[in-house]
Amino acid sequence: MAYVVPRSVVEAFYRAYAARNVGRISEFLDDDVEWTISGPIDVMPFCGTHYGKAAVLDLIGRQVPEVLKTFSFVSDAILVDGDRVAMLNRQSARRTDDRRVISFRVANFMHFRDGKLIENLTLLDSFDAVEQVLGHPLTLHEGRPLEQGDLVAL
Amino acid sequence: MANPIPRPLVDAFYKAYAARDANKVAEFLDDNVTWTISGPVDVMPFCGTRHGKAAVIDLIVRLVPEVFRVFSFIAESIVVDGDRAATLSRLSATRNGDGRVISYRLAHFLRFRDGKVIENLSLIDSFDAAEQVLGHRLALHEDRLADMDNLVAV
Repeated sequence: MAYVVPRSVVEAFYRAYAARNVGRISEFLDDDVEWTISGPIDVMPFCGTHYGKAAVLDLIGRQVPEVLKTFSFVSDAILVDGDRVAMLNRQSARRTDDRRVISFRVANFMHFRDGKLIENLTLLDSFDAVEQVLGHPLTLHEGRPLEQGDLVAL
Repeated sequence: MANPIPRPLVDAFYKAYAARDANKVAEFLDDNVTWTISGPVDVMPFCGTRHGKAAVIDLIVRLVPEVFRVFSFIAESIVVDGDRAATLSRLSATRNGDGRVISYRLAHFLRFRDGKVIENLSLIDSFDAAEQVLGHRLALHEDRLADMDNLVAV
């Protein structure tokens, strides 16, 4: 029969993750954990896929805080089903460079094995998050260099 | 405690939704369903919150197809717990106008009551989705009007 992760393990992991307690989080990560955050890495360099416990702890302990400092991570829903977990959260943080507050929803889809997290996919409303991280609305037109039709001789 | 939702019911709803079978989807919607898709409304007009069964069906049969035609909707994970379900899927579609293929991940967080969906929140990697819907990279710099520093006397 497939592994069933106890809700108590999931909730303990959630508390450690919400608090960004790297030491506690480490106890729940499989050595070969795979952690993916979906989003544009040129704006949020912590996006992408990270392999292994050390890389994930570096992500949580260093890479994300270089962009934003999380001060609130509130759960709307934690679903546990066999070895799978889905979480919906609201993350609030301060931008590291000017301490402006940003806030967005985050979904985590997780896979546990033997009490350890072996896979996570994080999905967020990345358009909204990027605008908040940049601190201005995104322009929807295509960026392009000046062309002859744009130049005016004075 | 809320009534747990049977997995076969969630699977049947998901099957109807993946097929964009509006009549079948309607059978699973509460009259007062609230349906939210997180994302930029000016790029993807189907984003935002809809209230009521008729508005959600209109979203599925008209508003989304005005932007793209879904040809594949594949579940990577379906998590069922109590009266809630969460799904992680990959949507593939062809853009109206030029037929270009777009593909992105999305999450649904659903709440059921008496066998009907009463609430849904969809989270998508909206930056990626917006770029694909627009058909070009988003400009990350801030648009600004010409000011004294930009002007050169020739």
